[in-house]
Amino acid sequence: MQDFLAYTVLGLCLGSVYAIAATGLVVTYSTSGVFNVAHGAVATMSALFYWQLRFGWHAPAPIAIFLTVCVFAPLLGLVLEVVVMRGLRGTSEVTRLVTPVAVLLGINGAATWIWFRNSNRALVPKKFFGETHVQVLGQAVYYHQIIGVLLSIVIAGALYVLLYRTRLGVTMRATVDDRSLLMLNGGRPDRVSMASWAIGASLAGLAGVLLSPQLGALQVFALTLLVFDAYPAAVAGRLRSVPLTYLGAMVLGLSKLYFDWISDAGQRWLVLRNLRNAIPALLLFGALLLLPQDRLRGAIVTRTRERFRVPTMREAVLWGGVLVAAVAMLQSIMSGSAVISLANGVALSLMALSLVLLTGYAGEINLAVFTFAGVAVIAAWQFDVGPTGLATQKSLSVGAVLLAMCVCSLVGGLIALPALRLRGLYLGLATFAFGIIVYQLVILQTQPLNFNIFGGEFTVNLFTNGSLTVPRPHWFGINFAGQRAFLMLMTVIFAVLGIGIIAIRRSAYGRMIVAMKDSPAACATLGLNITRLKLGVFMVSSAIAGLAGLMWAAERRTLPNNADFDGFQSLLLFMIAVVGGIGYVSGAFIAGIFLSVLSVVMPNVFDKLGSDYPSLHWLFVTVLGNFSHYVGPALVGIGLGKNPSGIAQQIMDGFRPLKKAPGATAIWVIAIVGLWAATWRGAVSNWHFALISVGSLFIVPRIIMSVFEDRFAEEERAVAGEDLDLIGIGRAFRASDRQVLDTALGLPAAPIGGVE
Amino acid sequence: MSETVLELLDVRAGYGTIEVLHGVSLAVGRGEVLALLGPNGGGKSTTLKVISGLVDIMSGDVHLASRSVAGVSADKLARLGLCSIPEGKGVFPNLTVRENLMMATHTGAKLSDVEEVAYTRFPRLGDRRSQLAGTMSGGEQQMLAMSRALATNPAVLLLDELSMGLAPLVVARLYEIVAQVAETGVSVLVVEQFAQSVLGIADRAAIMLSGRITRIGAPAELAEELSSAYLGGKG
Repeated sequence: MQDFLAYTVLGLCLGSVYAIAATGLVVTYSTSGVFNVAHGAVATMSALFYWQLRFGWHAPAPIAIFLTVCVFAPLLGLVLEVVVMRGLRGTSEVTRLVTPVAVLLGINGAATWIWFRNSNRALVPKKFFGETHVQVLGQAVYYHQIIGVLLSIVIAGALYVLLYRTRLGVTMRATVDDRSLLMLNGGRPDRVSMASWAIGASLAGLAGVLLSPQLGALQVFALTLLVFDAYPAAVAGRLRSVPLTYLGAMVLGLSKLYFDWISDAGQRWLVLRNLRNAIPALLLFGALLLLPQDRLRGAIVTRTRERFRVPTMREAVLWGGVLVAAVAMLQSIMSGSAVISLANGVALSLMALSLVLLTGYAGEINLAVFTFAGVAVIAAWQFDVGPTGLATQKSLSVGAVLLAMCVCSLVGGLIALPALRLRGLYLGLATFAFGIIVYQLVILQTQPLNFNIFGGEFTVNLFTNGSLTVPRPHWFGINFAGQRAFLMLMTVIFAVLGIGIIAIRRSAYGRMIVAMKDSPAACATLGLNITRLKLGVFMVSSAIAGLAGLMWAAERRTLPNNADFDGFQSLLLFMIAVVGGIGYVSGAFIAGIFLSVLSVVMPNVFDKLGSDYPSLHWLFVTVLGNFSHYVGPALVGIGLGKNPSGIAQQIMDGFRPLKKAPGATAIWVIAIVGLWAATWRGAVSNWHFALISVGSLFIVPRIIMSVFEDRFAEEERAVAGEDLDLIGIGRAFRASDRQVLDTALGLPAAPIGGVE
Repeated sequence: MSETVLELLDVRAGYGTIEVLHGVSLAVGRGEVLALLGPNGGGKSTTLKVISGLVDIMSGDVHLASRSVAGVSADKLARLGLCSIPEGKGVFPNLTVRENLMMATHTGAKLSDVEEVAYTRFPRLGDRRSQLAGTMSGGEQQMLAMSRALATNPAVLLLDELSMGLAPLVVARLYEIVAQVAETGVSVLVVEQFAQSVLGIADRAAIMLSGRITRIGAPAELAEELSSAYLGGKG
């Protein structure tokens, strides 16, 4: 009994710090409508800043804590609100989720760059008042923990008073309700949002400082994950209620400590030794499923700035062929290392493709794509490679791929089934929690699981040796073990899957899932089975993620159970897919290539430049290389608010002039092919080919635009008032308009005066 | 017409590249109730949004007390005495009645005064001061919106579709209060799709069709033109 009480006291101490972190999230969400995924990153950056002041520069603790919590963190919050979050108005929930993800990665990248770029430095924060403690029921309770409890009580009370008893707080809540109405009443929503972000960031900073001694040595992503643990508490408060959030935080703290108590800190059952780390995710998943959710969204459809055009099937097939041909030509002139980078990009593109169907079309969120990759690898490995699996082969069999896809589809269905009533952010959080649970309990599981089925012994090896080796396929008499052949196989799979996804979008089923995204309530009233639709699209998307994950693993050959599965990679891929253009197959391709280029190719290029020009090493390697590696991917995501439809849309807009000047375009394409031929024969270097061809992508449309400017302007004048949205509004609808609309919508054009 | 308080001068405005108002000119005098009438899609609500600073104008000007306020933000206009109740109740649904009234203090009013005026005018609100506004009936929400607006002692009151979704008795009561408010010198511009509910209190009425004011005059003079406007006649 004494142990129980002692662990209860410690659990409440831990819960208090989670309460501070979670109430910060609640403040930001309830006053801006943005779930600040970057909360953990703000906490991490603040903890590092505190360490720098306190232990790096030996500032007194009160000054260091004041500068961190009252100056640095609120300023960070202010900057985030003004520079990033303000641009998110009128965007979809996906964009509002992804942009903070970009901020998270950016801040963490910057923190890594500033504090950990040279070596694995050990930054060890100490508790307030060091090891000074009091004995409570035989357990040491540190002054640091007592300070945490006292601060959390004060903060909870102060926040309650702020939000419900002061005009500033009530105005913060009013901002979320109706921003325009607040302005009509003389309120200044921008100032209020700044205040709420400053307060939220300040609480994140305080939580970061209080939690950091738990880690021993500070690690950027580990500390961010520690703050992620506070999510279930915030969700328990439905992201609005401070008292319920506080209660949720206490349950969370107690759960962790009670687990320590009954499992001897995880040593009693080795299979479950990572359960402690999975408890927050389990509680998050449970809270999301159990708490009452909003009913189906009503008839009012939220208008957003995202617009995705659906290509025709002819266009899809044509561009699929162009992609395969272009990759075939490119790989023939690329060096081995460049082919590896391209293959990595195509593999990531395949994974992003699963999100086009799920998020781009159906509006559902999956923040655990890499988890499905892990599940697929485990399933295929048992089938093909595992020493006690069903077969032992040297190449990846079709059966293993199909099995992996089926398993992923079933797992996706199992996740979607309880989560069916969740939407948007909540569904995203549920999948993220699922990812963490699988990572902690399955991917990090090194104990083989033995089963006795019908009298036969059966062993399932998870990542028993810390990694799994996935062979490459040997299909249709072609050995895809080589890097170039495997790249082409992945490209063909991407093209075929892409065409298939566009075919789905253009089918009646595709229209149904898009309708479900726009208004589930309207769909329900039309008799559509939302449950079946949602389940179906989740299962198909999971199967695609499984196939993609298997290809990604085979591309890497040996897959360690490392950080790829801890949730951040899935967040990064999701973010880049949205940046690429989540509603476009081409957006998925751009996303994968972009990720590979930013995280691998650019740093390598800058490394080479640094070694070629030693005097500029500081510029190429220290500044540009680190910047592109650590902060580059995040920066593109942060800019998403300006163009929520993604890069694919921007590229299409940029290339539109080419459509109007087919002759000039043909000359350009022929020139590029000629340049490729010259490169292939060795007359031109790869470097020059890359420079000229990539440069021409940016320059040629502009040249065509300027050369034919007068002609385009004349054409535009001719179709003035012929904007599709305005046809029939600016003037009477004519029979000839029908052809224009049919062409634009990709419908088979009916003869003028035909069916009415 | 008495001294002009609010004036629109050849205003062109719209959304993105689409022009909705094609040169609207209007003037509202002190203590006058001007009803802006017309069928759906005519640009009435856009006119109110332009006046209240929620939609930017493309050309023309808006004058408040003979001072150009084109381009001035909505919150600043509110503090200058321009008060607006937008279409759709105009309350913060997740705030209580008292918290809704607290929002009126952004223009400088004291909460205790705001509450006193509101609860005196609509005693039912006093009984529900701790209730979330979103859980009240449509009529009560409209009363709350109106109380909050009037508590700021506005110079100009803009009302958008006050009658929407309300019982005729409630509408009559609300317009009775609008008339009382106008008698104190407040200029009122009312947008209404259901003309009959507002014509009884309006000093003048204007008909708006396809982004243009087609007719303006005394309510009785416009009766015939009103029916053709609604029935799709020439206007």
